[in-house]
Amino acid sequence: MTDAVIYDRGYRSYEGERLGRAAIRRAIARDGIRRVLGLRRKARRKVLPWSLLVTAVTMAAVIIGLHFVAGSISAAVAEGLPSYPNLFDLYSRIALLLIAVTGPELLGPDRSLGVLSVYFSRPMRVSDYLVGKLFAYLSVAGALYVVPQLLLHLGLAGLSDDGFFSYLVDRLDILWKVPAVAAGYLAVHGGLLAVVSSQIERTGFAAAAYFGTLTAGNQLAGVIADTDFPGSRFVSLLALDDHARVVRDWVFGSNLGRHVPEEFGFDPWVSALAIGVVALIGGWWAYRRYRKLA
Amino acid sequence: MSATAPATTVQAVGLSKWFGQKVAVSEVDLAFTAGVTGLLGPNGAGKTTLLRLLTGLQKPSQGSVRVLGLDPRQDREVYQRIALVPEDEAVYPHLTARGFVDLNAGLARVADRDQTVQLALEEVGLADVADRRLSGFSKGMRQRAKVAAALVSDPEVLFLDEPLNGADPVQRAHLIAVFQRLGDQGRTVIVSSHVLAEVERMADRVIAMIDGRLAAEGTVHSLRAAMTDKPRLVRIVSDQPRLLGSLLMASGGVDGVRLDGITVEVSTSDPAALARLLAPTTRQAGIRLRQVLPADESLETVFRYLVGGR
Repeated sequence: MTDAVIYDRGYRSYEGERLGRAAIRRAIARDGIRRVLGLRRKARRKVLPWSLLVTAVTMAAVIIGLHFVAGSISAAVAEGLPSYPNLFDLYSRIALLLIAVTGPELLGPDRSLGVLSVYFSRPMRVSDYLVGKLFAYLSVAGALYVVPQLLLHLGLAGLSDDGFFSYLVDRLDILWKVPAVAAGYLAVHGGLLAVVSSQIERTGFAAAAYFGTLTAGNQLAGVIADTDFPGSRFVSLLALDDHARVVRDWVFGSNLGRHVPEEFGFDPWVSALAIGVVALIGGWWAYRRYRKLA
Repeated sequence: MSATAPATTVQAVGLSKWFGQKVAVSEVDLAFTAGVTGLLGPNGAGKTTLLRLLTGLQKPSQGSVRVLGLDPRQDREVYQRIALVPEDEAVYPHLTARGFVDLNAGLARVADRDQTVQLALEEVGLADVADRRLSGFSKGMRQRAKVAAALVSDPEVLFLDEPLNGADPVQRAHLIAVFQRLGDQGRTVIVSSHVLAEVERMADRVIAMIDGRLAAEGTVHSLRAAMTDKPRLVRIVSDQPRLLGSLLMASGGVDGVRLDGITVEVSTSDPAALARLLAPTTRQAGIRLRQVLPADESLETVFRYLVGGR
């Protein structure tokens, strides 16, 4: 092979500025956010994510309006209106739909279109790839949980008889409670999404598997846990969606219904632990899968 | 222009890869230098697996790979200096060509993205259609977008897996010119293909793979010359082909003769002896020679010999 002579024809490799690994993660996250929100894509790709996001914000605005009207009647009536934990209950359903439909877009097409080799022939690691995707997921789904809550918080502060700033200062706990509960929802949903999307290439099937596991899985776990076989109560821990609700009620001190793990005697901290385990399993699963594919 | 020893940019030593019982690449020793090298072989010969091993996308079952002195499985920084154009579709149909190349610039950590992306698109002749979605591109145009995406990091070593698949003749000619230009710039360009004519047009050197093994390597001419056990074919056009054929056969200096119109196709195991014989024979018989050409130095012929009865 080396019997020829190659002349120096002047090629010098690129010596311009190279950004750090964070640039790769940003590029992947940016692409992921665009894909999930349908940006720079056909209108039909935008309809669902944007209508869900607009619905979420509108609901916050409606609740603020209801507080305004009710507050002018009586403070007691206003107390009974939906507030932060209720809003999470509503948003978790919107998020479930949003993540089911758009979440698998983050991972599946990279495999079905054969684009993974494009990624992994670049100076990046599997962790960079997954962190970029995770950031895209957190940006969109996180915004869905946090932005309307923030609007509600500011709206209620504006309506408060105590004054805007007094309301905010008196309720500083909201600043950690909302992110904490949002993190619970995001972790349990994201963990499951990571497992499902890593395994199922077709986005439609992945969406169905994700949606089915969270909805039917919750019901099924309750039914099986109610049977008589030894240790059946532990099956209630598979009611993944309910863990986030338990933690929400725990954090806000609310009681928006009995949830499956609670019914079978598990304390809220067990649900918090279960959420952490689901998130860890999701991350480990995706990492292991992409280590093989990379 | 100073002559320097050719530096090895990509090296495989005892490289093997097997999947269960199937051996995809078997004990391959190779070294690549600057310029265009064609990786040739029929479908299933192991070309794609070899490229994936060389780029570190697959772990060797045995042997080692060095790219620019580094192990691509261990030191991912080498990916700043190399690029791969995979055989798969490997594009996002919803992105524009510019968007796709820009995404790759981000992955390659390029700082000045706008300018770099534009240059890469211009290099492959897609600047005019850069803002169209890839879903509306022909396969050949998508191939060019993939090449642009690879070029955006200004790689020293470029691996291209069947890059001309689906390209029409004009696009092929354009891409071949691009690869040759990249090779002329001193980059190492490794192009796999199962289309002989393409490899012959674009590559300085050829590596032939068959059944996962290295079948041959070198220039087309040197490969043909190395096949001493195969008779050489020489095509001679003259004004008296029948007479010329009978004289050559009578001389005993050729192995066989075949007439085809005004052409005599001569088979000989000693081309030099034929050359010495031809001039006096034609002069004495008053035969006018119009053309004497080697008939089997094309890559296709070489490859046919290599593949044999497979």
